Amino acid sequence: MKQMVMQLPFFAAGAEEETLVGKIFALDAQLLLDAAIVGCAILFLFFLLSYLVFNPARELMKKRQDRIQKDMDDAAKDKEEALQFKQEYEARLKTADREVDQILSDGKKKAMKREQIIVGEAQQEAARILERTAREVDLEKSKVRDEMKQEMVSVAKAMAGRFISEEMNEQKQAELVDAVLQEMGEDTWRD
Amino acid sequence: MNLGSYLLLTPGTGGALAAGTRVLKSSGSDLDFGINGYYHLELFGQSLWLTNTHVALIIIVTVITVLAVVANRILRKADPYKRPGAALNVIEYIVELFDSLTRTTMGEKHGGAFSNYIGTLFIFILMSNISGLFGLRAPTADYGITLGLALITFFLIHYNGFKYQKMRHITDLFHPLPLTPINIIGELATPISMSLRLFGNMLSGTIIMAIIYGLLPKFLLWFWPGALHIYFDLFSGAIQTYVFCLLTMVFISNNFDD
Repeated sequence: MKQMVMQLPFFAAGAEEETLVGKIFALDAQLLLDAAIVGCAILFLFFLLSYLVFNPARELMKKRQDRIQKDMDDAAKDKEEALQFKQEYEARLKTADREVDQILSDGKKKAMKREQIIVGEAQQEAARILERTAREVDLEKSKVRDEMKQEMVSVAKAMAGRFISEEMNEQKQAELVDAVLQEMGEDTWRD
Repeated sequence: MNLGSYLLLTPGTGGALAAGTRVLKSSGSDLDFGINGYYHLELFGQSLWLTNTHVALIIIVTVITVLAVVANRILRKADPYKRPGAALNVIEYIVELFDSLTRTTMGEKHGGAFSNYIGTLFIFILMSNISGLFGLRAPTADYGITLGLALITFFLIHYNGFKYQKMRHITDLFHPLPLTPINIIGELATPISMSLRLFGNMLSGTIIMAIIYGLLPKFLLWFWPGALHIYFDLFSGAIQTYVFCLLTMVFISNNFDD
């Protein structure tokens, strides 16, 4: 019994200098060594896990969170804009008939105005053409008149030449006039 | 050490129990739940040992390192704009759990700064506590380990005390003056109580499991200790991990002004 109790490991009773078997609790230098070792282990694990796991995982989650937040903000903004557009188009649809009438009325007015302008321009052009034609007719008349005068002068000259070369009586004079007229022909007077 | 030596600790009943174990054909003729030294060294005139606690510690730290490297690879390959896979979900859940735990306990302002440390502490203690499931002797069943953890907490408590309360952290010990010794003892008791709580719980589980393994006949060892492992290693281990981390957070946050 005594021998067995001596082997009990409580309070380092079993921890001998040469061997350490079955120790459970002892307040000795080994305790401080164990505490220092676990301190180093925790410090190492702290930096390792922070660098490899905790911080990268948080960065990843932050990126995803920012992206989701941005998507949500964009969606809210798009929704707001869509609502505005919807209201705007609904209002436009309500006034569309009036706008159509207005557009048609404006179109008619424009067409009428254009028509008036075109007709006016055509009338002015016609008036100009008539005026020019009348001028040309007058010019032609005066030209023909001048030519006729010249022709009459030349006929008178020819008749005068005959009168001078022959003794004239009334019968003879009439025959001369007819003869001259026949020489000249009808075409001379038509042109 | 054999089973008989433990049973003889109870005077008067030892003989019967010892006889009983023989009837049950116990598998544990050589029970071993203590700390064993593998390599002896002399340092500053002190006799020091490389023990099974250190071996378990190295294995646990290695396992955590490997898991951290794997987690880091998963995180680096992950696209934040695509649906996360199962492994990434687990990693993010764990990180968010620690963030949430520290912010809830220590406050929104200071909680985030301690999230990494509490996370590290939690993972280390939990892995140590459940290492019994894998045939290791839990490092937290060694007082040197739990004392080391409690001393880190003790350091953090007083570092933050001086940081946020300045000299009031010292002068408060003398208010009221007659209770000064009790206040000082109360401060010094914090690491001792924390370390002994974790150590005691884990050691008791280790001893009970060793005795159960020693007492039970071999055919019962296939299923019955499993239920006890669930309680002593998983349940008790997880509870003690949570308690240690929670106390660390509470003691540290007591020093914050707001």
